[in-house]
Amino acid sequence: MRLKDTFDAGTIEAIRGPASLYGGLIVGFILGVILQKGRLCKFDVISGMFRLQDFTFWRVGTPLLMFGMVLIYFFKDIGAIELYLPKTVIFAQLFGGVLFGAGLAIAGYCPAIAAGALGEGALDAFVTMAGIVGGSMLYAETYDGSKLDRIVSFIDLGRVTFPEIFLVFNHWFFILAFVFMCALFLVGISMYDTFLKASFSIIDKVANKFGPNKAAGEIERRKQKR
Amino acid sequence: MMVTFKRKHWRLFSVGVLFALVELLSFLLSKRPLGSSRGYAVVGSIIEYVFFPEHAKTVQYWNAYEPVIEWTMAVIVGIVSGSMFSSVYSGEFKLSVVPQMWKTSKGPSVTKRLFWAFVGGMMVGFGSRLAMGCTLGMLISGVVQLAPAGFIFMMSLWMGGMLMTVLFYHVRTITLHRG
Repeated sequence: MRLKDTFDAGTIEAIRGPASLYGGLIVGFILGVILQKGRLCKFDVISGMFRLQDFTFWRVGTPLLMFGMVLIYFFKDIGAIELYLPKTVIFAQLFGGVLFGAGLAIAGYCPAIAAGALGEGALDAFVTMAGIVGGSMLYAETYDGSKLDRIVSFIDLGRVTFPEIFLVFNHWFFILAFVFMCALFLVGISMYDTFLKASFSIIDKVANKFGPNKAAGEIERRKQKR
Repeated sequence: MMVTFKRKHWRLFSVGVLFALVELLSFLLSKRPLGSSRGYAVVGSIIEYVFFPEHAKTVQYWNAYEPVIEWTMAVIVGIVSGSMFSSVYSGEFKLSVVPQMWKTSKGPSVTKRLFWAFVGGMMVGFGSRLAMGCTLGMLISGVVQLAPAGFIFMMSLWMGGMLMTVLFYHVRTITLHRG
């Protein structure tokens, strides 16, 4: 098989129609601009999220989930779109999520953020992208004839949503509860994040005045015994 | 209009709302939620089919991933070009290898950073294939459609990330200058 065979005959037509590659390129371009303007594609922001010092991701993610849920279900109810649900397999998502989070803490880039960081000029993101391709190939090699296959299909619920599992007759109850909790959470996390930013800048000024490293603007300090 | 793109950052709340609109646009335009990690798997299958064609036919997992350029790869290319356009236009584009926070806690060595970036990337790729989606395709698209998969993935991602941060960085560093 040659490299040029990866373009099948339908690809050329697919580039023109909005349903496939062309639409993906448009959506990806807008997404890239948004990720960059929200300063999300930076190692410092992701690593700071896991160190509980930088809550940028939570402040972006909470309105995203609130408004996204309301918009998607509203457009589904008026019949403009159809849901495209992921499969729920509890053990696969549990173990996969833990492994994914561990890798995210080390590398600092998730698949979409790595692409955005590469566009911003962070060259280590390219190495991470190569690593993601390598990890996918490793999974494919170990998939058949191993225990993984059984883990992946252990508790397979299929393509379901929460209202279907709990037999709630109207999904807007779930959405209302979720949006209410998200709104409270967003107010709290925004206040805490602003407080952290202000206190860090005060510490920065004081450390620059008295501390030894004026140039870096950063202090490293050992955690004292609590 | 152009002044908006000149600004380095937008308000975080409006970024979140715009992100939700992009998710909706993806549903309207391409009839599927956003996702990016499938594109990496397809790149992997293309590599195997091009370099080891006999071996790749025996791998059971590649049956679901035909080696054909497809939608998620276009999304990845779009993200790279969009981020590059935005950062070059607002003057934020800067080539760098070792991030500031890594430098403070792990030292300025380039090879060490690249090695760990590759290892972390392997874990991210393996985990995303095991969970059948990444943060974009599983967490955001799952939670937005009220699927339990997204909520489970969100919680386990947070557990794994916190655990690995405590074990790997020893959390001794506070970086005052924020990105």
